[in-house]
Amino acid sequence: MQARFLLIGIILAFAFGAILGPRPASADVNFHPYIKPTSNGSGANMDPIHVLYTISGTHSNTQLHFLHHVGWTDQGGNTMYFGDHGSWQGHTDQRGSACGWCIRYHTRFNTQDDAGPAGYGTFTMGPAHYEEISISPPCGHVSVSYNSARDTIANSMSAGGHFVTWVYWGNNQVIMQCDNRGTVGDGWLVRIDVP
Amino acid sequence: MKTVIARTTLTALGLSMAFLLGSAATSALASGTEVLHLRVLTRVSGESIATLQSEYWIDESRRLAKVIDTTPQGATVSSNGPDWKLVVPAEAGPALRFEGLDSNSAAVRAVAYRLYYYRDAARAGAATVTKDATTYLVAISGAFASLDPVTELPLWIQYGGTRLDHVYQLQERLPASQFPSSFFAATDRDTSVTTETNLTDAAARAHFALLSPGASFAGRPNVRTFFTAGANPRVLEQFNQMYGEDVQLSMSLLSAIPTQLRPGGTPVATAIGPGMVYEDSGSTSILVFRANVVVGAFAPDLSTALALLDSLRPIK
Repeated sequence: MQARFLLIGIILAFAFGAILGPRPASADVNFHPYIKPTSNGSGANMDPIHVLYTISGTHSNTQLHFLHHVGWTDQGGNTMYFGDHGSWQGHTDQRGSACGWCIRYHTRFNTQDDAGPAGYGTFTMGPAHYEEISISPPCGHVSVSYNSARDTIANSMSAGGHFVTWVYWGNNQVIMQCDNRGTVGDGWLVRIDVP
Repeated sequence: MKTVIARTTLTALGLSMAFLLGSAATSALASGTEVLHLRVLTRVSGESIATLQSEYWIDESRRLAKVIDTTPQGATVSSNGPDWKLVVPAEAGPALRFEGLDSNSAAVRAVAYRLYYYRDAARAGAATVTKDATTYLVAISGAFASLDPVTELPLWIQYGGTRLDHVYQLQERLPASQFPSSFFAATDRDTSVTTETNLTDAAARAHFALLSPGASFAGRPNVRTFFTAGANPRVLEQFNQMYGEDVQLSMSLLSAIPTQLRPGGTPVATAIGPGMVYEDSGSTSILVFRANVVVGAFAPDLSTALALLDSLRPIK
């Protein structure tokens, strides 16, 4: 009798494990095209995700090559959230061209070692912006440009020998900033291959 | 009239103007229209890394200005960001930033750094003011500013635990005759321009079918329209219309037909042709391509995005 319950238990455990256990990452790019300010994905869209580090774009590879060719370091910044397959998580790294109070380029990374579709390999998301500090009115960071930050990264990586591919993503919504300005990207995403 | 300002030209002109301004300083208080010329050093107290130098030429009667910002390393910041010009109202009201348009257009964009923000807030009664013969303190939204009692320009601003000191290295008023009328009119400069304008002006320069001026969608007014041109080699022109942050329409004239599109879309029939729909946890995007023109509809759900495209019609 006990053996029968044990057998049923084992079968149920396998069944629930199959349902609730960890699943392999889907081979797609089903991420939300903008980062968000909250951990549940609510709130207005923020930076468009317009940079992908692909092929072997794991966390370590991406950081290694980014630091080597672009050179920005961790200068601080607010946590923003990336949506991937419906779940949201904060950035894993951030890099800035200057201090947090400075006018600067700033980028965040989200690395889940995702497996993309054919040709993408493992990728990391890396939205970027060029920002100012608004003190008049006093409301903090404002992103002035998305395109220039992306292009600066793409140019630096390309000059360093990385192959870049431009993909029309269509994430060119106007993003309102705290000083009531609207900043808009051009909807293009750059794939930067990382060996 | 399209007005653009290029960094390289500004630098060269700034040098030549500096020569002119030096000789004009003695007649700075001439009657009639004047130009306020400021060179401001802004720095974080106790630090040198965030020191910024800005140079302003402000003609309040014409409401035109030029601004050059440089980093501590001497690089011209405008080379990394959009070129722009500033409109500073003669009376109370926010300063506005214009990009690529003449000042008489309907372009509206608040500047990130408003030179007279605290003065205007004080005049509008929107701030707490402490003022006597030598002190002019303005408090608003968690920030404090000390203004020069005469010029009402900020001497320092305390915000977020950081104090920014403004050192006016040069402050003079010059006859407008020293301010070349052609300065803002030149159109032959290579520049990166991002422009926000009203829909009528935008439509006159457009290559797309657009919603009619003043149109609304599902009870939402067309709250803002953006027009971008010449910003990069991949997009020749781009319009964005906002019916709120969650409902937007974009039209882009790409420099070439894309060879790669965002994967994962599902074909969908729309009022303006076949498109691809992308569901993004809480929002829906539809992209419709016609050669190198792409129309994007963004809405909370598919039916709203489709209805947005249904409402698209041309402007004569």
